[in-house]
Amino acid sequence: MSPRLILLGAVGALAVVSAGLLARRRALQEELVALRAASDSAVEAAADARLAAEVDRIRLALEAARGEDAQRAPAHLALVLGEGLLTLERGDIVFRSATVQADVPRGIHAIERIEPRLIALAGGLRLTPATPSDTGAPAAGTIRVPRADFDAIRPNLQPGQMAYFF
Amino acid sequence: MPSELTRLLLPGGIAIALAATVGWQWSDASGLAGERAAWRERLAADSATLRSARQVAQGVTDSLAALLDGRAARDSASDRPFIVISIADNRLWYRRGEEVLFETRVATGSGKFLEKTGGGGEQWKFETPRGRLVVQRKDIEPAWVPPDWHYVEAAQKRKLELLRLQKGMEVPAAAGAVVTISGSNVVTRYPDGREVPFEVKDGQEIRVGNKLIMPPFGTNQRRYTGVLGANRLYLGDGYGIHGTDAPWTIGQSVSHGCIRVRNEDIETLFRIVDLGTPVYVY
Repeated sequence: MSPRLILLGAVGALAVVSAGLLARRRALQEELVALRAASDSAVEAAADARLAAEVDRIRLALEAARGEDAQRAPAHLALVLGEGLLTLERGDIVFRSATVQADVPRGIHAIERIEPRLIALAGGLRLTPATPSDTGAPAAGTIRVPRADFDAIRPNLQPGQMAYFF
Repeated sequence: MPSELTRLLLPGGIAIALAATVGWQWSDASGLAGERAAWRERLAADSATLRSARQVAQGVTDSLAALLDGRAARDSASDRPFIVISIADNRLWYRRGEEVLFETRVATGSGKFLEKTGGGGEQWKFETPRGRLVVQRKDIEPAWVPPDWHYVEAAQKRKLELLRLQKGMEVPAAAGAVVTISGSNVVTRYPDGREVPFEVKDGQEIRVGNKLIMPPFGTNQRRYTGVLGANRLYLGDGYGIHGTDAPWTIGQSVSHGCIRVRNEDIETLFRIVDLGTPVYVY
């Protein structure tokens, strides 16, 4: 066999191998895209599940507080973050509801301090009465409550009572 | 020979270039395969995390559902009406769950202070107590037995000296008469032995000279009729929901701690509220 034919044969063989590798590369890349997407989706779904569990855990604690005998249960606050709805409750009785502006995280927070214009919660969170000069969103960690509602709610709270934000 | 070499150069060069390309492609494919293996591992770990997070979430959701089911069953079993009173709004609601059965305006405690007699800095505070109370008694035609603060307040308003009348005490009055206690009445006893019981009402307390007389508990002069309306729901510790002879005060924070409603409202409440009904004041 002539060297030229051998070389041409080698070129042909290498071209076939190269084409095969090209196809394998494309397949691997497509698979990688799918794997990354699946992984992202799993991470996202796990985060959603954790959030759902956290919300349900807070609601579970809140419902347990609501279910307590109202004779023994102290008053508590509940805030539905998505609706901006703050309620003062005792046992399963809702005394007062107020639409508020809030920038606070989900969670269960103990009331730490009560002042005429401030209800301070654990973790640096705070409820304050809204004033006419308030514009825009409240500062981080703040719940801005309409003045009349703040004044009606405040005298019923004591340090150590709980606030449920979910 | 040179022409043979020339004929081999082109396929030889192509073969070398292809060989280099295949080598790079092989290495690239190996790298991608390694990356795929890593992503497969990562996906497996993420899937395991997801399964675990979902299991936890499901567990909490199940617990919540069980709690809510239990509550629903309990609520339907004890769907008992209750009263809610807002001090801030001076408003009363008679509710069963979320359903409002009756609603009206009220007057609640003023929040004012009054210095107690005898010094010591002690004070009465006229506020409606917050928290949970219970309808302990339903009174018809209730009489008001004024607490001490009523006389202290009345004496201060009229700039009179307060005198706590006790059994056996005789307070000299005009024309040789004395004010004293006879049986269950505070009376004026005249020199001829005649005794005339005092008739009192809110704002017309017994006055002798510059003294305002505080009759002892148990005497008829320590009972005012007609000032609390036709009925009272007694809540204990001297507090109650009752009518009023001052209907214009309803809707204000002016009482000494009791919850005042209009007379027609206390008649309605008396009819529809049972003994033992919880009253939540907030």
